[in-house]
Amino acid sequence: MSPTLAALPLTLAFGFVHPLLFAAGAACIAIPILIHLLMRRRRKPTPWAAMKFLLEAYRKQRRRLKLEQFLLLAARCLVVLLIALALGRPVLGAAGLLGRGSTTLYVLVDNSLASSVEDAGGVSALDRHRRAAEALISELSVESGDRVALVTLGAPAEPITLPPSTDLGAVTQWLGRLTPTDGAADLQGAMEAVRGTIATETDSGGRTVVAVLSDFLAGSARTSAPLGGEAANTDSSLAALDAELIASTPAERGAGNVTVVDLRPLRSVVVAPPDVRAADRQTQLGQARVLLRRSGEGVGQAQRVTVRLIARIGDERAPLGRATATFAPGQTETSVSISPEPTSASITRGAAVLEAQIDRDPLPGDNTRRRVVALRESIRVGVVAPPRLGGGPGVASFTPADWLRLALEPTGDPSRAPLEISSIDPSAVDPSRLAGLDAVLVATPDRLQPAAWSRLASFTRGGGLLMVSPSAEASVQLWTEAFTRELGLRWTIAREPDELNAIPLAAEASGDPSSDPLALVRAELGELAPAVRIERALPIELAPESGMVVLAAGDRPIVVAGPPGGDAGRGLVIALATAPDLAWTNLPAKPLMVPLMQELVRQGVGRARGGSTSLAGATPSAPTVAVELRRADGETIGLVDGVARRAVRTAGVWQAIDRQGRVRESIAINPDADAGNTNPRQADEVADWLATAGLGEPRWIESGVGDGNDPDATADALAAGSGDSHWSWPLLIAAAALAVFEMALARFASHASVSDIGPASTGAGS
Amino acid sequence: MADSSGLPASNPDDRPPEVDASLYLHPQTLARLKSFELRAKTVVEGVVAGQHRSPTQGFSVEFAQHRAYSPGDDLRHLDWKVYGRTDKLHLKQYQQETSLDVFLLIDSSGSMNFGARSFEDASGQGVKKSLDGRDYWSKFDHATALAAAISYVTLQQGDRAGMSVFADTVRHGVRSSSAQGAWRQIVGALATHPVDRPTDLPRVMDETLAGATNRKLLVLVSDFFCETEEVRTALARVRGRGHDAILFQILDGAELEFPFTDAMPFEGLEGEGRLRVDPRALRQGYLEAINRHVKAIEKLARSFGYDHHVVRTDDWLGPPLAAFLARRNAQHKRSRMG
Repeated sequence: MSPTLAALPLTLAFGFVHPLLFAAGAACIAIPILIHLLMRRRRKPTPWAAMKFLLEAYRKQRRRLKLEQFLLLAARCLVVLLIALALGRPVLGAAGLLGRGSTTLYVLVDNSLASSVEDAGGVSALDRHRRAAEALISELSVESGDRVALVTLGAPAEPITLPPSTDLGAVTQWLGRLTPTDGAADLQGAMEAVRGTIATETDSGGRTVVAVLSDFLAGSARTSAPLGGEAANTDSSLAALDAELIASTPAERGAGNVTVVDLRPLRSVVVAPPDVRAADRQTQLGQARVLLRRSGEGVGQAQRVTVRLIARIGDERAPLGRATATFAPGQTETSVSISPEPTSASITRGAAVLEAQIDRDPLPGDNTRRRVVALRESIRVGVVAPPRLGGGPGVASFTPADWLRLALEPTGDPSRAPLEISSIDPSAVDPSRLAGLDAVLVATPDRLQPAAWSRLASFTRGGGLLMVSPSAEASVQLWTEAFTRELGLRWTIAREPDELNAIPLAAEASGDPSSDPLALVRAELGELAPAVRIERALPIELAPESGMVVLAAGDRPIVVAGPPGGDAGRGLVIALATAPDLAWTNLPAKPLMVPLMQELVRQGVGRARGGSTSLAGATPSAPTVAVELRRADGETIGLVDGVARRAVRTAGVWQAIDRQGRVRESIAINPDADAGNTNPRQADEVADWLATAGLGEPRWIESGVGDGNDPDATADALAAGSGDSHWSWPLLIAAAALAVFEMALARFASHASVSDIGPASTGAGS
Repeated sequence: MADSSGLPASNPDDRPPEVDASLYLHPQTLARLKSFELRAKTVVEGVVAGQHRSPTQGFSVEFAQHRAYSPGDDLRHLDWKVYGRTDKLHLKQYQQETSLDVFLLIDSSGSMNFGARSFEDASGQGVKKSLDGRDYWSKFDHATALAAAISYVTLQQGDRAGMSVFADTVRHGVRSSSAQGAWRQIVGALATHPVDRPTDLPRVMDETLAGATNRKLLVLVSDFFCETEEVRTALARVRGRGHDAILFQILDGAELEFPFTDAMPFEGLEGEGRLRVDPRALRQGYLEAINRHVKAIEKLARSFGYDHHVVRTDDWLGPPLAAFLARRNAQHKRSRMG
């Protein structure tokens, strides 16, 4: 934003991009003066008899000669001064009334995942951004009161020195310590922080420059998300910000990069009783699907990528298998399934970290994807239902809880069942009973008190699976509101069921397939589902992106699943629209009942532990009993209610530690796959995107991929402020013009043109 | 104390040593001068009767006129025949043939010590340096050469020749004489050097003319780098005493052309101080000033009926002397015929 005309005379100031060059050049003004003085002193006087006439001529022309000499000397000094000014690259811009004025530079360095991409010379983008930042900072001067702020863009944006500091050296040292993160670039967050700081700065007399140093590859520049500066157009307080925006020139090409987008093991919880053979356990563990995506150069060509699957259990590393993924020309995404190979690793209970790795490419940060797989001997499930009174059950008198237990324990031998089932009285749903459970199935929700729903919500958010089915006996389901409210679900569940007249169950699901808890059996549902008839079901409506319909009958959701509300990012809620009762559906008596419940519980438990995987740049969560996260190198992050105090910016494996120092969970932090997109962005697109920061159109710094950094060009970008102007060329032209004038004046002053007037007459008197 | 020729008493220590006269008379100069007869512009009274008519009415060979006797007149010149016929006392007056008395005044002020021409080139003898060690041919060198030439020719014709060297005063000289060896005395007196003092021409002229009894042809050799009024005063006194004069203005080629190009300091030879100038810037003004001065001296000389001649140090002495003498002879003949 330019200063107003009224304020302009008070805010104009003169500055130099290269003050030392100017000083050296200005010192050269002494050269013509010294030559002038030396010429006066060095010559030996010439004896002269006709001094009378020389003095007479001199007296007549003394003033003119002195003026000529002065003009000549002044012109020569001015030529040197103009050249010195041109060398110093003067700028005229907004600054203090006196002197150069202070400059406040906000350096936003992209250290996101894409910043680790290397060029052919092995120089990373971050190194180039670092050099550009150093070049910019080198143009600042402590003596002038210049300040610099450093903000890194690796999500979430991290203010290293904010508010700005006058300790330029310390900021430069910080630059040297920057390392790439594995997350996306959070330019929006950085801009918000910078705008907030600028708005609170009281010293508005200086110049403010915001420099964004990034290649603006697709992984770094998510141009669909505005940078939050739109309010500047309407908010007068933001509109008052007087700052310039400079940015690296967007890279014109991006290195070819393959990203491991996802690693999907067959099960995230491997359940095998102790007597199960290690090979079988390994088989379950080693079955995984790996999704790959490629970007940047070379997308138009076919490509083969070798994917290796590795299990890390403690300090032991066990290769599980490998496969080759193939990209057809133009194909950007592909997937590959990996079959297990024999391994000598001893896979016992605990947690295994699966790693999908590909060969090194220009962006190595996204070549590995991790997933924590829990190795369990059993899954503990609590079924909330009132105790059954009377003798042994008969099929005709089975309650929904009975059907659920039967489906979860079809063998009838609890000692061999992978699911460990316990009964919970609805009136006794308390934390002590819920502790240690992986899943809770509520078959009689109408018997629960509101406080019980709150406890179940805490259990769910702590990483548990909560499955609720309508009460078969109640004609009006009064629990639905408390259920959705306490769980934070944006679902609408009717209180009364609709009569559906035996609508067959459909096999299809809607929603994100990656979160489908029936993904493993979905292919078999085509045969099993139509046999199931729904007689009665509660109408359920899901708000957008609040969950998925796992099973439906006609257009009515029968099984829905979704995460509980809140920021934990853990837990899973599954709601059945129909009760597992023969009066509501024949599902309990159909073959689908067992695999449906087994998968819902097994996969549901695994997905409910979703907190065991997080993305770099996000704030990971852990079981609420954990108090801190600890990495192998000893770094720790405190936990508050199961949520980390800060975001984790680099990929790796963390362990959630409780107060007793026990490991409650392993958490894999993965690179942000979207951040590894190395496709270049168009400069216009980036300019439009940056303009949404509310700081005007950016001026580019020439530091593209493979071009290296030109410190002078970078410094020029800082010097050439929007309110500033370069005077080098006009000064050089003026110096040249003045030099011509000086030559003409010197020739005129030398009076060489009168050399042909001839000698004095000597013919008198003859 | 001046003698009858106006010369101050010579200091024996100031008297120059005997020198080789060939340094002052270029052979070519002598060869050219021998073909001319040195004649005075006007008839001067000479001790030795000769070719020159004296304006003074004397008592020599050729009768001129009678005049009435006045008490105190020499009775030997009474014309007794007239007295016998008319009983009146008249004296006989005759027009005498006289010899020429040439007196040279050589300027040795500081400004005469300037010269841009090499001594070797000007001397014509292969001598690289002067007796006092200079390697340049000064205006004084040229003036003394001219004086030696004139005195030589004068003595060769049996006329009298004398000489004074002056600056702000008469420094030393040789009284007028036609005796044998007079020329060598003159040349010896010329073997001096300029002094760092300005010219005071009226004073010098007063000193020169104070004891002069005979009419002289004064040969004034100088650069005349003094005020024009001083020259006017001096010439007026010469004219007032009935003497004739010839002005030779000696100038160096550099003074007339000012050929310098580089800025440099110039230092006056008569205490004017030092002045640093760009010669190219001042050349035009300087040449105008010196031209104006030379023309003023010329005009002044003509106003008194004297001749003025500029002699460049890079010219040899023959041509200007020859032209001058030829013109003087022509004027002398016209005067006799008239």
